[in-house]
Amino acid sequence: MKRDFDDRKILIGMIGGAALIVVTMITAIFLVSRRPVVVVVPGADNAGRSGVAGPADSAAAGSPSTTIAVPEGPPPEITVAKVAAAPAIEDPLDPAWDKFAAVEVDLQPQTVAEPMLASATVSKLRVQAVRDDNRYAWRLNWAKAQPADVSEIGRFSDAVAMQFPLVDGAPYTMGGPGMPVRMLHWKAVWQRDVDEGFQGLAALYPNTDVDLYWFAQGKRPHAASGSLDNPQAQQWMIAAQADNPMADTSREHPIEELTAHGFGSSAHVEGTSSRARGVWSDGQWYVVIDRPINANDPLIERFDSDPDKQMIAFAVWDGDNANRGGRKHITNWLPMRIAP
Amino acid sequence: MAKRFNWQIDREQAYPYEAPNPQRQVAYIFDTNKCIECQTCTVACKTCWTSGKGQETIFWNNVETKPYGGYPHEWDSRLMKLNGPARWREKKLDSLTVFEKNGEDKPPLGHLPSERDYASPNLGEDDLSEMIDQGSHFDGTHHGWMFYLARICNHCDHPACLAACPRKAIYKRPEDGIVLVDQERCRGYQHCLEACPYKKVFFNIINRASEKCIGCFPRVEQGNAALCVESCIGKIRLHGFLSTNAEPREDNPLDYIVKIRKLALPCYPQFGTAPNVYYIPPVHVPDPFLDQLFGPGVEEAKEMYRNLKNDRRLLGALMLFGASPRMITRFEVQGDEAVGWDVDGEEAVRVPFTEPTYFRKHFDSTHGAYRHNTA
Repeated sequence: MKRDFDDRKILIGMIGGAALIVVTMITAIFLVSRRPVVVVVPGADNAGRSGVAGPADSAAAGSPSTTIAVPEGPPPEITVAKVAAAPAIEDPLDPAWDKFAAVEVDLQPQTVAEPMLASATVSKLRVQAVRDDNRYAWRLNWAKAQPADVSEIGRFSDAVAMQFPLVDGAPYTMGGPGMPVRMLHWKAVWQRDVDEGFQGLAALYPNTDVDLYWFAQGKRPHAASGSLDNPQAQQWMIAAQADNPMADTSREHPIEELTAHGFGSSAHVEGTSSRARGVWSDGQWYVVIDRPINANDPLIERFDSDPDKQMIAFAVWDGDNANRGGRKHITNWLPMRIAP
Repeated sequence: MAKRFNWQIDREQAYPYEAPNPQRQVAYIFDTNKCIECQTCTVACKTCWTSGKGQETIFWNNVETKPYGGYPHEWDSRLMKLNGPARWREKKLDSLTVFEKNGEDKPPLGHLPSERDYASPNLGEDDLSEMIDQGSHFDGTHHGWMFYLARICNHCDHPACLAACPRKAIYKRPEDGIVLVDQERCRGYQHCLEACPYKKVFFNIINRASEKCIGCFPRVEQGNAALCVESCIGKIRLHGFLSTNAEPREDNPLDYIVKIRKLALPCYPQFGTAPNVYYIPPVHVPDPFLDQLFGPGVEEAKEMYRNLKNDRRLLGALMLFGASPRMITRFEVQGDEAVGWDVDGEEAVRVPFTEPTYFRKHFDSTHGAYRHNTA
């Protein structure tokens, strides 16, 4: 009991001391600056937050403690130039890209909804955008010392995404209720899957051996795609059985199209018409993402409806710094003008 | 953040969601005194559920040696290092849970193991707490100790994995409290791996999604005990339901052992997830270690266990362990027998307090054969 009493006294002393320090600091700031001092209590006023365009429909989305810092001046505009032939996706280093103007956009760590990104490691993204009669193409380029292109426990992939609103007023924070957005998402690990074959156990750990895979056919090390396709072996590959888009051992394209109506709500869009290819060269990622101009494509319809007043936002993930999901670098909406 | 009452720490605690209790809560009792670490449970689980590509180092059920064993490596000591020592005032937790440590509206405190931490599931196996001098067994009892801790998903009342998932891809079933990862929605962010204090959510590198113990729900839905429970040759496990929306029932063996008698204790209750695997503490292990592992009540539980022979009702409940492949929801001591009923109200098992002994004659006149004791 004596000990408990002492503990309580210490606690009261600490709280009192802390309060005294805060009051002293506020007084000092007031005396120096002669301005009213506003103490912001995180989470105290959700409705009054500026910079958050809509409610965050996230599991862990609580009250953000900070918002995106808006840079001085107007945001850079992405101009989609009309060209005779937009470069193909096959070669993101195609010198043809050098002829097109690039816009450098600032990235900020995502700090609107948990899980947030504590510290930024990528600050700039260079964007080029062109179109011809058949397709739109964007080239995204950012600095990265080494590619992170595996998927493992505690290891994450570099990635980039573009986001477009499907309705006016959709928040840049992955849309909001009734205000969907569309995303085109490229991942380095998917690129490696496509380039070198699925990055499974044998690719990650060439010296690994496993005694037995039930119902596996063919020779060791029994590639996930090929020797384990039979229904008996698939009994244990539940995410693949559930058509989880992550669990694709025979991926053909390193891109996924998603729709979302708020944080935590992104959903796979089946059969995207977009294609992508990324290469890492000399400390830089170069990723080209395209979009064929097809009728009945909600994105293209929107582009056509008002070419001068489109919006685009970007996200970049640094796999080496455990970026994934909400732990990403983002931009607010940027104006995108589609040149006639 | 919602405030939810956690009976294991005798106070309210922060949690991201408000939710009603499940209709009943699936729960397990493991008697650590009886476990011989034969890993039959591990193999039963692995064979049935995790034999696939990408599941090479995934063990939904594992048995590790305490104090030094741990799968994944140092799963518990790393979190204790981050969270600081637990402080209890009687039965009430004074220190912070993993939901409170990072502050309001923050993801739960946790750590993300690396692939190597899963590579040696039996590291530390049979290691004693201290070196034993040669010949010391001639001098009476030595001080070195170890014991086996069988571990599965705790299907917690307040799951940290669920709290950490930004996609709500983890859910707790209202009918029985089993916690599951939605295999369609998971995108492999691994926040659940980071948050689960028990490291019982796993990342499948082929599916690139998280997986965890499913509580053998297809069996539970038919009233059958989980495979790890049924296969246990040491009969250390009992699988059933805890009452959630009513007072604990004397005739429910889980309620009786866990909530009424408090013979079995939760693992690391200080983390705040209210885990639902309850352990009868090993009686030979010193209290300080067990206090850290099981929270308050260790001394009382050990005393109760030592006195079981005079505690007929409690002993009757313990005799149901491993006695039936059915989940026992009601039990009674009738004369010299403990009787258990299953979820359908059918009698599932009848266990005598004293096993009958049979003496067989040296010469079997029916078969004209001699019996030899060749053992």
